[in-house]
Amino acid sequence: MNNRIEVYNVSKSYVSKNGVENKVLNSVNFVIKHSEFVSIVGPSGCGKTTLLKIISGLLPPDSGTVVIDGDSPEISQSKKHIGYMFQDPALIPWRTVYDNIRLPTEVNKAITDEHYRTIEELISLVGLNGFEYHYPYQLSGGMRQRVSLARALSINPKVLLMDEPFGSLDEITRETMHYELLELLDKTKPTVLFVTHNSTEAVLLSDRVFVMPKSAAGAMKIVNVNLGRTRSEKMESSVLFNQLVNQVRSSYKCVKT
Amino acid sequence: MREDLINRAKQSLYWIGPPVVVFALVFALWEISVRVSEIEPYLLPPPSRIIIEVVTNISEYCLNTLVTMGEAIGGFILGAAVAIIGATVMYQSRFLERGLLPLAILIKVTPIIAIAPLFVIWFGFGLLPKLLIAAIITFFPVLVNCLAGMRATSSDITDLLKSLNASKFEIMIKASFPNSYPYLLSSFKIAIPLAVIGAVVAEWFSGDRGLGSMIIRANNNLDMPQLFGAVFMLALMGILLTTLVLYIEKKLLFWHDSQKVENDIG
Ligand SMILES: Nc1ncnc2c1ncn2[C@@H]1O[C@H](COP(=O)(O)OP(=O)(O)O)[C@@H](O)[C@H]1O
Ligand SMILES: [Mg+2]
Repeated sequence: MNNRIEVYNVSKSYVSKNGVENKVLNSVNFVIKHSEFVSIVGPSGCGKTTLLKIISGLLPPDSGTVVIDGDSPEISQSKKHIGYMFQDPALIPWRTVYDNIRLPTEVNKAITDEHYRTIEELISLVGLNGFEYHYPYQLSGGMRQRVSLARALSINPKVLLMDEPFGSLDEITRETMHYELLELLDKTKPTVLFVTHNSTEAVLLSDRVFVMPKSAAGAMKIVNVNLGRTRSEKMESSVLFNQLVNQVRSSYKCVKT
Repeated sequence: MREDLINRAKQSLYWIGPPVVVFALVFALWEISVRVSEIEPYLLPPPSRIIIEVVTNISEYCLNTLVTMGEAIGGFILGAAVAIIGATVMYQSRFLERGLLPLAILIKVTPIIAIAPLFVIWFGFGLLPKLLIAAIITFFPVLVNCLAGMRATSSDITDLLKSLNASKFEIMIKASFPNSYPYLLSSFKIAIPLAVIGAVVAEWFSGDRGLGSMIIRANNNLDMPQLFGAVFMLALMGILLTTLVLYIEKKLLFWHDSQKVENDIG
């Protein structure tokens, strides 16, 4: 039982129709430890989504390897070890909250689901009691993203990939969701890779922050967040916290050029 | 309870009111202009004359309407079923899509007026040629819309399902196919009147039952009230069938943006 995400020498280029090569990832290397929470911060267009797609096995890298809990991404997919969450809630509009959360358990049935959380439990964990039979169009943005989170957790994933999940939420909803997320993850402790371009969010949630360069030529910077695993709102105003946020911001700026 | 009834009445009025007003105006204008200009009834009968014609021969009109409606609905179901199967096959790969689309276009551009007599020679005077013509005319809009609807599925949702190693079939059943429902129902609204026209045209070339045959007979006898009576019944049929699709759309697509306005009012 070792839910590590290992990325070795992963490179990826997109070739446009007129033959121009756009190198997005250049030999990316890192290892995320069991149950670790890592954020990736970087300007838009620097390849964050591409990296998550490669890790989840949705996109093949040009070269390099990805290992999740000792398996290739394809094997991890077939074992249903990967939870995925997007910036857009991407709910199925004709399904109720309950049926949306249940969706991942309905496909690839070869995998037994005895260790899954029950849908009822997930619904109450994300605070949606009473909304089980509502449809997405009847929910607020924050509620939709909670459904999306519950859906990602329904298979009890070993690794959770989150692509700017709170990017389209308003400030207040976003702040409450941070603590909800940490509380939720505390129960099952999956390994998390969280993409954001908000430095405060990254420091608040993570054990480590990776700052991605704007162009593939640059190097990735790592900021260790030595704040302990329990985070609180009081901590957000501490000196150390703000120092860390500034550290992320400044490395953000220096890799940007 | 009382309020509920009043609400329902209001809602019905909201839908039925405008078309009733428009039709009443058109008919009134028609009636008055025919009477004032003293056009001969065998050239253009006034609406009152048509209504009398239909009412006095109501059983004949109803029977023929049912015959044509049966052919149109039967052909529509056949054509839509083949189109949906075709779309799901073409959805599987761009290769199949490219390969089959020219065939679909060929079917689309073939004028039914040209193949209707041919079908009578091939398939006789019975139900079959009428079904086939209505089916052919239904086929293309349903195929194209169904395929477009499946292709418009959110890539986040398909990515999510792929990341769980869902099979292609599962992705289609859970996401792509239901995603095409709004597109399918739009195409049904186009295809159903077309299927009715297909059935009518097919009747021109064979058989003695149905509104199409009635139109041909009336035309040969210069019986304008009967011709307009048949057209009147066709219009009623068109309204009935389209209303049915709108109703299904409202029930099935409550979640879709296209239904939002109506949800707000209802
Ligand atoms: N399917 C694609 N085809 C071609 N170029 C792409 C594709 N997806 C992304 N890109 C390009 O790759 C770069 C990185 O994209 P992405 O990974 O989405 O960045 P981020 O998520 O950090 O904003 C961008 O310049 C984008 O234009
Ligand atoms: Mg992105």
